Parts: sequence; C-alpha cells; structure tokens
Amino acid sequence: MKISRFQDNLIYRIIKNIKDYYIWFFLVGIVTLISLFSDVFLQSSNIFNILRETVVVGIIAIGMTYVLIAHCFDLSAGAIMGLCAVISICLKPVNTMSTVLSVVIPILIGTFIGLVNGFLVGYLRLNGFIVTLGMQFLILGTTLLITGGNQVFIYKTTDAYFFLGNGKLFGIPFSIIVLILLCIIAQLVLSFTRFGQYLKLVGENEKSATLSGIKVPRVINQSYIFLGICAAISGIILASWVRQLDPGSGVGYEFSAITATILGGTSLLGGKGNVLNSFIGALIIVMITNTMMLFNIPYNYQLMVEGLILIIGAILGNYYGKKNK
Amino acid sequence: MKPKSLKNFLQYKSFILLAMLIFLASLLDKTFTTSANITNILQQIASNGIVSVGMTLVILTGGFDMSVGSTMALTGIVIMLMLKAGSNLFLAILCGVFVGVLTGLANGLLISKVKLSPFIATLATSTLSRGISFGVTNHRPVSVWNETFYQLATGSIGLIPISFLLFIVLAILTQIFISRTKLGHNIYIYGSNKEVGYAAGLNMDRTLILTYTISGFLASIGGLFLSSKLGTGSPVMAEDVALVCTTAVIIGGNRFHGNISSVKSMLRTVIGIFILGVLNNMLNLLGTMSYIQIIIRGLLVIIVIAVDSGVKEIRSTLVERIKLFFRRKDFE
Repeated sequence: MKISRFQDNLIYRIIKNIKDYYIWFFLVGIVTLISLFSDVFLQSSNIFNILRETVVVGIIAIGMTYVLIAHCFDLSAGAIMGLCAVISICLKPVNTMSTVLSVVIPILIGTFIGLVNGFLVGYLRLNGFIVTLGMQFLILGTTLLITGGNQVFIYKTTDAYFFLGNGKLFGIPFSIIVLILLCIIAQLVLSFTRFGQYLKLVGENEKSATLSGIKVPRVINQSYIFLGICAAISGIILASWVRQLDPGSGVGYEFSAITATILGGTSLLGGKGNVLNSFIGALIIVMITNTMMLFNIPYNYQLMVEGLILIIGAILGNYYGKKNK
Repeated sequence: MKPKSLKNFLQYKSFILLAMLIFLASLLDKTFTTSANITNILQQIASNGIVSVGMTLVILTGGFDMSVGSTMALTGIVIMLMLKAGSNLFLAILCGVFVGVLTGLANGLLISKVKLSPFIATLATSTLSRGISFGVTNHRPVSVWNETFYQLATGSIGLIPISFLLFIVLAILTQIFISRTKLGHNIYIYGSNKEVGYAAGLNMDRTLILTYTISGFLASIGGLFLSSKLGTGSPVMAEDVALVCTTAVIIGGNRFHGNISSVKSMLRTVIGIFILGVLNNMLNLLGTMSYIQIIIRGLLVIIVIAVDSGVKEIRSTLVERIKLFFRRKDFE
C-alpha cells in the first residue's frame, strides 16, 4: 500500500488524531471560565506562580508517562523525590564544591533507585505495583533515618544553587524553563526515536515486542531509570525553592503525578501516552487548586474536586482511548 | 528434591517466616511472651486485619483498593458525630457501616460499569471521601466518650480481645464464602481468567461490585474498631492503611490474579497480618526507631516476592531438567 504524501504530513496526522489532544481544549475552557470570575488570575505573576507550582508534579509526571506507557507502575516516585530533596539540602550547598555535589549526588541516587526498580520489574519480572510499594517504604524509611525525623533546612546557599529554584532567565523563572525543556525533549524522544517506538510497542503487547526482537527488560529498565532521574531533578528544584523540608513530604506526589498523567490521556493499560498532555494535566490540577485558594475555598472542597477531576479525566481518557483502537 | 515437595514448601514459607520471627522475638526479649504483650499484639492487629480480609478479595480479582484508609476515617467520624448528636450507639454504628458499603458500591460501579482502572477509581473515591471527612468535621477531630463503644475495642474475653475474635470470625466466614459458595467462587474466576467467566455466562460485573462492596464494608468495620480504640474520629487517621494492608496480604503469600487452587487465601492473610504485627511489636520492644520498621517492612515485601518468583523459576527449570533427563533415557 502506498502512503500518499498528504497522509504523511504532520499536520494531517495531528488533525486526524485531534481527539488525543482533548486536554488542550479542556485547559482553554478552564482558563476562560476562571478568568471570567477572577481578574487576578491572568496576571503574569499569578501565571508564573501556577507554573512554578506545576514544576514539581510536572517533572515527575513526565517520567511517570514513560513508565505508564511501558505498562508498568511506580508508587515510589514521590519518595525518591523526597529523598533527593532532603539529601540535596543535607549536603549544605554553601560553596562551589558542595553545590556541585548537592546537584550531582541526588541525581545519581535517583538513577540508582530507578535502576533497582527497573531491574526488579524488568529483568526479574516482578509485579511493578508491589515492588515499588516496597521501595516506597524503603526509601521513606531511609529518608526519615537520615534526617532523624526532623525538618531539614538551609538558610544561606550559593547563588548558583539558589538560582535553580528561584532564579529568572529572560524574565521567566528558571525552573519553568527546565520543566518545558524536559517536556519537549521527552516528547521528541517518545515520538521520533527508536526507543520511544519500542516503549509504545512494549506497552501495547509485550509478547509481540519480545517476538520482534525488542529487549523488553532493557526498555522497561530504561523507563524506570528515566523516572528516577526526573524525580531527582524535581527534588533538587523543590529543595532549592523552599530550602526547608519535612522528610515525609515527598510521599503523595506520586499520586498527583499519576492523576496528571491519567488526565493527559495516558492509559494504565500501556501503549498510549503523550508527555505534553501529561504536563497540561499537571497544569490543570495545579490551576484548579490555585484558583480555589484565590477564592478562599476550604481544603476539603479542593480534595473533593481533585477526586472528581480524576474520575472525569479517566472516563474521558477511556472514551477516547477506545475510539482510537 | 521432588518438585511436589518443593511446591508444598513454597506454600508454607510465610508460616516459616512467622515462626522464625516469633522464635527470634522470644529469644531477644523476655516481655514478648507475657500474656499482656500477646493481648496487646492481638488488639493492635485486629483493625488492620479486618480491613485486610476485604483487601484479600480485591487483590484476588487483580485490583487494589486505595480507599480503605479514608473509608475507615469517615466511618469513625460518622459514628462520633452521630454519638455527639445524642443518637443511639447501634444506629450510629449502622450509619457508619452504611458509609463504608456506599463507598465500596461506588468503587464497584466505577470499575465494572464505567470501566475505570481499579487503582484510579479507588484513588478518586479515596480523595473524595477524605475531602468529605475534612468537610464534616471542620478540619478537627471529633471525640465523644461512650463507655460501651470504648469497650468494643478494648474489651476482651479471657486473653483474647473481642476485636481480634471478630477478625478471626470474619476471616473464616469470608473464606467459607469464597471457597464454598458459587457467588464467592466467581471472585477466583474473575481473578484468574475473566474472559472465561464472561464466556461461561457468569455475571462478572456483579462479582466485581460485590467484591468491592465487601471490601468497603470490612473497611468500615475496621474503622469502627480503630475509632473505638482511639476514642476519636479524625479526618487524618488511617492514611497509610491501604498500603500496609496490601503489604500484609502480599507478605502472607496471596498474589494478584489468584487462581482456583489458592484456597487458603484468608489463612495467608492472617499470617501476613501476624508477621507485620509481631515484627512491629518486636522492634518496639527492642527500642528501635520507627523508621527502621518502615525500612524493614519495605525490604520484606521486595524479598518475599523476589524469592517467590526466584523459587518458581528454579522449580520450573528443575522440572524441565528432570523431564528432559527421563525422556532421554526412554529414548535410548
């Protein structure tokens, strides 16, 4: 069968798969709705504020998208984030040497934990849910052990370290630039490289992927390592941003990241997903929480709305997922 | 070694782990074997144990129930609020349990009819009911003193607490339900191969709804005992129960997608709960930090399932080798 030039066109493909991008319309709708009621909402300071809050969840959601596409699961991402943030602060970035260390060592730790997860799930074929549940306990316990259960804080850091979470580049906060760059790179890797195609194939049908010569364990391992690195980066940015952390604060972020990813149309059954959509999903969640704070709505309604959004997002994702197949 | 005896050994590894733990604990600390301490352990594990019984059913169908923790909290709060309003204790408990059944029913409907993934659906209902419990209590714990309600969790017959007795009774009843009745047997069929169930004309949707409803019901019973033990209903209580109960069920030897042959599911869950309870108690008696308990819990989960799959692999290769060996002899 000959594929016509027209069908090969990127724009044609986007229009054909417009349903995959329903989340963007959702975003536009929500932004319009909120800006009707609040004039503070569209001010640049508030927008930057929302984006900065998105960074922590958003970066984890990028890695989570990879893992969910490969039909795996991770409950330990939030704990990895917490551990990396705590270690980054504990290394006391007060001079050049320790600044470099407090960025490099958390990333190495994130990579290592991702490697362990990936080894257990990919090579030993253990259930991802249980393994990462155990890892979550393990990492959380380690974090508490390191800190002795106390808060960790650092008031004065080097400028370079301060810049990671608070600095501005061309008037845009640096952490947002990191998030958007990571998003774009991850999306490009997913759509245009062999690894991305392998990832989707493994998630879609593991058996046929094995039969067609893909090293399935390696692909799964790589996706977990990527998630570990993402969690570590988000931990460093969080540490540099707030500089005072509760050791248990990381746990719970994995649920937010999964919610964002699901809202972005990634299926828990694997084989389907889009990093940019996950980012938008994270943005929507933070935006709604932020707006509720603007209107002084109590915490309990925020929780309830979060639950409802999760259900609606999953239903929409289900509906469009089925249509595409 | 014969493959069959190896298989039997594999089935009882959680028993061996528990026996080793009890042996170790009684060696390390003399207070462990005192009757007061044993009563204490039994009382501690009861509320989580009741929740784990429901969780076992859910895990046998291949799903998870993340909502048990917030169901427990909400049940406690509802009971406390009813008591505060001056209602009858029986009516209050009935209302509390009704909340749990409702949550379970919502989970079941979302998963079977709306076709959401179990994780997502239960996470959503969990967040929702946590939000509701923050709302109705105005972000503060509610506590009312009621002697009879307090006696529920702390009272005991001889050495055995009432709550533990109820846990065992519920476990036995549920085991009878899933292994002796057709309706309960469908849970195994759903877990092992739901397509076959659909093809055989079994009502798989109803099975799933029933499973989650039972889980919600048992979660609210667990919440009842927890709030009775603490004497309060707080919106932040029982936050990690879902994960701890999953851990207990897994450590006991149950797996996602249980198959027909796994008839001792509840026994395994009880063993799993005991392992966690004895471990916690031992570490507390030895005066270790609670963080180390969390680490050991995590390590235990990973090791248990790694050993499980490792032994399975070794066994299958052994069986293959033996078969190959005999076939070669026959051939010659």
